[in-house]
Order: sequence, then structure tokens, then C-alpha cells
Amino acid sequence: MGQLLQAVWGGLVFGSVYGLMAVGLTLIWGSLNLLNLAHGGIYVAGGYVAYTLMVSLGFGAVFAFAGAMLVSAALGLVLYAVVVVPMLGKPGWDNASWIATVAVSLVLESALLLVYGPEVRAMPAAIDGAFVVDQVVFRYQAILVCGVAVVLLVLLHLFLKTSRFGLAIRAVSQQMDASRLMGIPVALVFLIVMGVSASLSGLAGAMLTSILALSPTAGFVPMLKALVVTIFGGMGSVKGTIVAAYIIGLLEAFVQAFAGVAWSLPALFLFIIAVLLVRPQGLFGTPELQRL
Amino acid sequence: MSAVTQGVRVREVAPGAAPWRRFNVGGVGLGLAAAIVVPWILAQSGQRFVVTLLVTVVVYAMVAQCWNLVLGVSGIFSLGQLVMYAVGGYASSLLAIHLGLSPFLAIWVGGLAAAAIAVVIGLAILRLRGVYVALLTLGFVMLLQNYLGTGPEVFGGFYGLKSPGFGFTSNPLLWTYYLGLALFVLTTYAVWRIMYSPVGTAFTALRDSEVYAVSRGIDPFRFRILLFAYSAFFTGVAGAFMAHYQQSVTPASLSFTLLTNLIMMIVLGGWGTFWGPIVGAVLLVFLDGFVLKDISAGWHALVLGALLAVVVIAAPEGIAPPLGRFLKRTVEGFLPGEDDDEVQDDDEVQDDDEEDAR
Amino acid sequence: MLRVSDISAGYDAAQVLHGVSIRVDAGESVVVLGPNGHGKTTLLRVISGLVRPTGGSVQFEGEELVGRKPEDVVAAGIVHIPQGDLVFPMMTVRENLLMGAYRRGAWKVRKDGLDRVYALFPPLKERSGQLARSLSGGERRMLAIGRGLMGDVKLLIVDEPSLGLAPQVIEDVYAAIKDITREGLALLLVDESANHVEGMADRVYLMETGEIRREGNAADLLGDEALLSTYLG
Repeated sequence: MGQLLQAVWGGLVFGSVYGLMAVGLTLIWGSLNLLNLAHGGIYVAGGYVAYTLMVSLGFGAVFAFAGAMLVSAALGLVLYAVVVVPMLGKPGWDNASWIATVAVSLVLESALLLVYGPEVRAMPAAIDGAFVVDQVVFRYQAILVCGVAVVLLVLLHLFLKTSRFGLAIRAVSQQMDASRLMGIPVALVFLIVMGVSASLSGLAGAMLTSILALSPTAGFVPMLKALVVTIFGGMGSVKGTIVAAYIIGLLEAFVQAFAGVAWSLPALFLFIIAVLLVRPQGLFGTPELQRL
Repeated sequence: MSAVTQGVRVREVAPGAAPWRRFNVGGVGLGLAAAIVVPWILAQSGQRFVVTLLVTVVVYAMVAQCWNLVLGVSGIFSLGQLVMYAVGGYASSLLAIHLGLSPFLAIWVGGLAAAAIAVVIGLAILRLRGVYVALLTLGFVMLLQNYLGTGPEVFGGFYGLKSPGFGFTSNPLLWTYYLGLALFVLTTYAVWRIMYSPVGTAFTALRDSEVYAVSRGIDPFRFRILLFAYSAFFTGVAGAFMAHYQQSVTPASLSFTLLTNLIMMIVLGGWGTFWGPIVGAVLLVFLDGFVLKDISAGWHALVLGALLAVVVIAAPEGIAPPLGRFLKRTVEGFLPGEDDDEVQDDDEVQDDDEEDAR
Repeated sequence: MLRVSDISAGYDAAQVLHGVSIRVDAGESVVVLGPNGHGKTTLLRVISGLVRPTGGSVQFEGEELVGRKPEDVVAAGIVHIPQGDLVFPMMTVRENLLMGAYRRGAWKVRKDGLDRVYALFPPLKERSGQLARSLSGGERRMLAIGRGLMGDVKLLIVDEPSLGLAPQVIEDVYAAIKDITREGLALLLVDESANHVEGMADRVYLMETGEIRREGNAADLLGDEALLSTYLG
């Protein structure tokens, strides 16, 4: 019973972080048709920024998280400037764009390697300690991660559902030409989407690396899991992505609890392969045929 | 496939020409002679290191060519080529170890095993759209790596298998290179043949406009599986050859580093082009072997990453096409009046001329 | 009000428009007729800034629009309702309409805008919470037009509103457009047949292979059966 509850709690924490990463991927995919494989690099960069601010410079956690978000957002804008601006709309965008993000990611991760070295660092928790209920350990840091993620995801959902600019983001991802004819500044929408999505990934990095570990390549696996979430939710659907994040998080926590950590990624891949065979458009996605 | 999946380059065939054009026997013969004689001289003069690099070049060029066939020519976003590479290596090694099959025969079985796996994977993924294919094939790479490293004992765990060598008695390195060269030539012919045949045109049509291709009676699913298996066969042979050459095969043949390196070869060289993967393999292996030999891992990745970024963003056609044009001009400068010294280069050049004219 | 002079434009190597000039005066309804594929849509896309012309000028109330972004053109008061069903499929009818009021000034009075559009197209009010992709073809067309009316429009541009609709629905759509122009709005509409524009158009242009062939009062041109059959088949 204790193990079961622990797995559920772990699943909620994982799900929250995957949600933060995956909504960014899905927003970028939806509006720009870009598979952003630099998302993991930005996640790690967020982790290192928070690490530097907290450990090396002695700032508090709030400041460190804010700094991580700002620097990550800036990285997102850089990605926009070096990849999207010169390449969008050119033939071959579908193929070349994600390779370009791989290249940017290589540069980013090797720069972090040069600055911080390859060793795995332990990021201190923003709040130390834990309490135990019925043998289940609730670490304060995990509660914080969960809480912040849920608040941000809800805010993002409301923003996209009700605000003028949020609606515009959805409009651009559904019908670009019509959006431009409504007077929506498409380039600004892209810029904001890249910035917001990168800052969420950076924040995920800053928060999760105190639970997992921090190293220059530590972003790869979380990014893959976020991609699985994005696809499971139906690429481009924010609501679907949030729901999918918690399902995948729970699945992973259960696999880890009952089959071992080594099985978590293989299990996710087997799961998503099975899902796509049955439902190629994911959980909430619309069938692709009309886009052909 | 969403939006336009026009490739970076569109291959065009001159009106009236047979789709697989006659190539210049002299040019190819000259190149082959150089590929045979130069390593012999290098081996004689003690430059063994360069010959080992050349072995690496032919193997990676084979894999890159096959991958380019999938990725660049027919626009399937597969990241799974290393699965076929590893399956070839493991299958061939297991046969040689347990059944005592000669490596010379086992490598072909390795290729067949890879092709069989490709059909299975293809059945699962090739009906899906681009991004999904990318993620799932990457998933297969990681699944297999995990399975080989932690699965049944017969695969030898993280240390892999000790594959029997080819058993050349005199000058083994040079002879291994010659064997690799022969396999490379065979693969190159197979790739060239499919790119410049009606079947190749069908693949390009599928990449550029699926709707149009389907309306002309091309069944995309069957064609993609066929191509997947075809390219997997030669990839598997390359993997098997590499295993017997290194006398070892490990789960590291599925590493993400190798994966990005191969993608780099394809993109730097010019994807979707015939010469791209070959030029890319030569360039990257020699860059690694000489220029970037003594720098730290961080700088190494930084330089390669930056190079990839610059090429894919600023020069998406890659290095091979401009290089071809340059060679053509140079050759013409030396040989006034003689127009076709290297017709295979000429293929590229004519396309570009047409593009310039437009 | 709108003065398009000597516009040339095309895609890649193919030139579509060869020196097209038209004008729309304040409060006037102008119709450009021509067969499909002869450049009508391209002309509209040039005006709204989606396509950059290779030559010529587009002036609206004395201001040059060539080289401006689509959002600037909307800001100037030109609203282009595109051909086909370019609604936002995964947004509700209400959200679609709100996007028509994206500009800050229009956003402030979006409630009034919604009321106006709902009054004009009652079916949209009934379906305000439904996703746009669940609408019928006629309703989608109404939604596209209604969405265009949410902003501060001076000139409404409509691209072939009859395309792909059932005859009865076509009449409804044209009746609605006629209603709109009674409010004093200028209208530029393109269509491939003269059937529905009678009684609505003040002036008519005939367009063929990217050039304006004839121009005249609606009464004169639309009455000339021989001329129409020459150009429109």
C-alpha cells in the first residue's frame, strides 16, 4: 500500500515536470511546425543557471528560479533568431529545422560542458526536508515542484483560453493565413511562443535537477519523455498534453516502482508505439488526413 | 506529411535521357584505381593510421548512403538506421561464433537479418507521420541498446561480443580495407541504381507530394517498406563488416554520438544528393582523425555542432554540390574542349545549371 | 479610397498579374469578375499584404500599402475575407469571432461587435460555443464574414463567397453581404460568375489572364450577355 501511494505521488511529480516541458514542445510544434530538439539543452541550461545562482552566488531559490526562466527565455529567443528567422518558409523546413535544433543543442551542451565540466552535480533543494505519512515520503521540494507546475499549467491554459494574445497563439497554430488577415502579428506570436516555451523548460530544469541529477547531457532523457508525452497527447493540443503528462508520469512511476528504473524509458517507448498503432493521432489530436 | 516536404535539392533528369544515365567509365575507373593504389602506398610507407581512417570512411559512407536514401531521398524521418547497423553486427558475429560460419559469409546473413528487422519496424511505423517516425525510431535505437546491454547473456552485456576476425594472414589491415572498399563499391552502385531508376523517382515523388504520388498509383506504404529493407540490408552488411574488422561489437554501436555523427555526414555532405553522404563521411572522419584529434570532448562537440548549424542554416544544400561545380569548372579549365570528364559529377552540375538558369 | 495602380505580381517564375489597376471609392461596391485561375485571388492577396507585388502601388486613403505587413493593412481598415473555409477549426465560434477583433481598438468594444454579428447571422449565436469545424459549409462562410466584421472596417474584401456552397445558401450569403454594404461600407468582391452580383455591384471589372479587360457601370456590363459570355464562358 505504501509502495503504491509512493508511486502515485512520484507519478504526480514526474507528470508535473513533463507537463512543463511538453507544453512548450507542443506550442512550438503547433504554431511553427518545428520539432524543437534543443528543448533538453535549454532544460539543462536552466538547471545550471539556477545552480550557479544558488550554490556559487548564494541567492535564494525564488531568485534562482526566476533567473533560470529569464536566461532560458533568452535562449529561446536566440533559437528563434538563428534557426527560425533564416529558415522558416524555405523549402525543406520540415526536415532541416529539427536538424538545426540538434546542432544548436550540441553547441549549447558542449558549451555547458566546457564551463561546468562533465561531473554530475547535486543541486540543493529549494526547501529541504520531508514529512512521512503512512510510510510515504513527501519531500518538500517535490511538493514545491508539483505546486509550481500545476499553477503554471493552469495559468497557461487560462491564458490560451481567454486572453487576446493567448487566443491569437491558438489561431496562428490552426490557420496561419487567416490569422494574418485578422491583423495578428505572426512573427511576434512565434517569438513569444519560443520565449515562453523555453522559459518553462528552463524552470523544469531548475526544479527537477534537485531531484534528479545535473550534468550537461541530463536534458536528453527528460526531453525524450516530454516528446512521448507530446505525441501521446496529440501534437499541438495543449489540453491533451497536460492530461498526457500525468498519465505518462504515473506510468513511469509505476514501472520504476515495480520493474526497476532501467525499464522506465523502454516501457514508455513500448507504450507509445502501442498507442500510435491503435490511435495514430494521439489522445486528443485530430486525424491528420485533412492536412494532406 | 504536413506542409511541404520539398527536399533541399530536387534531382532532375534531362529530358530524353534514360533515368539511369551512363556514367563515365574512365572517371570511375580512375577513382577506383586511386582508392586501390594510394592505400597500398600508404601501408607500404608506414602510414597505417591513414588506412585505418579509410576503413572507417568506407563503413560510415555505406551507412550514411543508406540512411540518406531513407532520410534525404524519400523523406522518411527515420533515426533508426543504427538499429540495422547493430543487428547486422550482432547477427553476423553470433553466427560466426556459435555456428563457426566464415565471416565472409556471415556478413551477408547479417545484412539479411537487418533487412528482416527493417520490415518489422517498417510495418509498425511507416504509416505514421514524420515526427512520430523520428521519435519511434529513436525509441527503437534506445530500446535495442538497453536490451543488448542488459538482456540475455548471449549478447554479452555492455561489453558485447568478441567477433572473429577475417583471418587475413599477410597485411591484414590493407586486405580488410580492400574488402571494405569492395562492399562500399557494391553499396554505392546499389544506391546509385535506385536513385536513378524509376523506383527512385517514385520515392522522390512521395517525398515531394504524397497526394500526387498516390494519385499516380504509387502505394506509399509498400514502397517505403521496400526502401527501408533495401537500405537496411547494406547497412547491416556494413555493421557486420565493422564487427569483424574491430573483432568486437558492443551496444555502443547504437550510441547517440554515432547517430549524430552520421547525420552530420549526411547533412554536411548534402542530403538527398548522391555524393553528399560520401563526401560527408570522408570529411568528418578525416576532420576527426587529424584536425580535431587532440582537443577536448567539449570543444570537439562545440566545433562540430557549430559546423552543422552553419551548414544546415546557411548552406542547406551541403558541401558536395558546390564542390562538384568547382571540380567541374577546374577540370574544364585544364581540359579545354573535353566536356565530360566525370559524368557523375556532371549529374550534379547539370542540375545546378538548370537551377541557375531558372 | 482604394487605388490599385499597375500591379504586377507572381509566384516564383510564373507571373500572374500584369499591370492591374482598379479603384474603389468610399461607400461603393465593386465587383471583379473573371474565370478561375486568372489572378483574382492574387490581386486580393496583394492588397492585404500577403503577397508582395513585383511592381505597382496600392494606396488606401492616400497611404501606400505595398511593402506593409498584413497587420498594418488591417489596421488601416481593410479586412480581407479569404476564399474557402479559413476559420480556426479547433476554436469555438465565439473565439473565432473574437479573433476578428484582435486589434486593440476593436478588442475594447468586442461585446458590441459580437452583438452586431449575431444580429446579422442568428445561426452563429445559437452555435457560439461549438467548435468551428463542426459547422456546415454555409455557417462557416457566415463565420468567416462575421469574423471580418468584428474590427473597424472601412473596406471589406470578399473572395468568392459562393465557392462550394449549395444554391440556397449562396443566396443567403449574398443577401447578408448586401445588408452589410447598406451600412455605408465599401466593398470589393471577386467572383467567377455574374449570377449573384446583380443589384449589389455599383461598378464591375472583367479580368482575364491577369489583366483588366473591361470596366464599367454594373448596369451596363451585367446587361451585356454577349460580353459576359465572351469573358466568363
